[in-house]
Amino acid sequence: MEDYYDITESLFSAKANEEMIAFAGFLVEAKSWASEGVLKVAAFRRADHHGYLTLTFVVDLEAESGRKTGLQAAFARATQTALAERLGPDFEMLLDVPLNPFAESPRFFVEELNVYFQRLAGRERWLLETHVLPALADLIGLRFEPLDWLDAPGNSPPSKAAERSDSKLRTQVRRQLDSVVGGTRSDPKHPGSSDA
Amino acid sequence: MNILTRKNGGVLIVIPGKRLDTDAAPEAELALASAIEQGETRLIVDFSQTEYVSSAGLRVLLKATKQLMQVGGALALCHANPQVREILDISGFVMIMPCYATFEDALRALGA
Repeated sequence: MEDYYDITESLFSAKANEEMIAFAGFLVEAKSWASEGVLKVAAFRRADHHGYLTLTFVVDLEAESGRKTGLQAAFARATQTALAERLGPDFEMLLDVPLNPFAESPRFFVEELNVYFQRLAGRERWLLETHVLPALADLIGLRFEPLDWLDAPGNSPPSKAAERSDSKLRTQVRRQLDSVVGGTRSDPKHPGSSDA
Repeated sequence: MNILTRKNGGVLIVIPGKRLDTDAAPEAELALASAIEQGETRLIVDFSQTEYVSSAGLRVLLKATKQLMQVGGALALCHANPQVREILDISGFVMIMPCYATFEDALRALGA
């Protein structure tokens, strides 16, 4: 008997279980066009203060799905090496989860960047506002509106049980993603390298 | 006027027009923010008339949700078409803005 694993359902479940802490509007600016978008920020904090920020970018394409190629190129500039130069020694790694293969609608471009830090808990706001978003704005060509912070239960660290469960699910989803579309991003400056 | 509203018991029902995009977002934001400021704590956004929700529309819904969370309220969505539903699922916004297939399910979720 074979197990049937629905990767799309698993991905949606993982996304729905993220601890969302903030959101913001943004503008992506290219030479000949600009698109609006919305950013979702989720935080995953471990008891030892390590953790990562999951940044989910949703960009309007409307009928101009040709912009997808430009957006892919823009987001590809956010590499492990480029972020390491800007985020300092607490930055651990970048993990890119390409969500577009799961978006059947031609009206949106969706990208997820996971930014890992050695010390995250309690420093989310400072890291995002003074380091992460300015770095991504510079690399990708984004103009962010101020972050809207959610005054929600999600701002407290998750329980260890929830953390283990979520971590297992995300690992499973990422493994499947890697096998389908490749889940890590090579640095164009260092061909063949992996960001993970 | 692109936004219709009506009351169902203690729940305010908000019905956006065909598109909740950059053009329609300011009116929707005003309607939702005003309603919450006037004391509404349980809102349903009914997408039965809506074909397209842009990122500007999503931001309006997120801002209303944040405003409601601050007063112990909640927002639920219903009747989203597959494209709207997909972007809610893939972004994970459904965690704070649950989306139901029917109006009755949304009402039940808000305890009405």
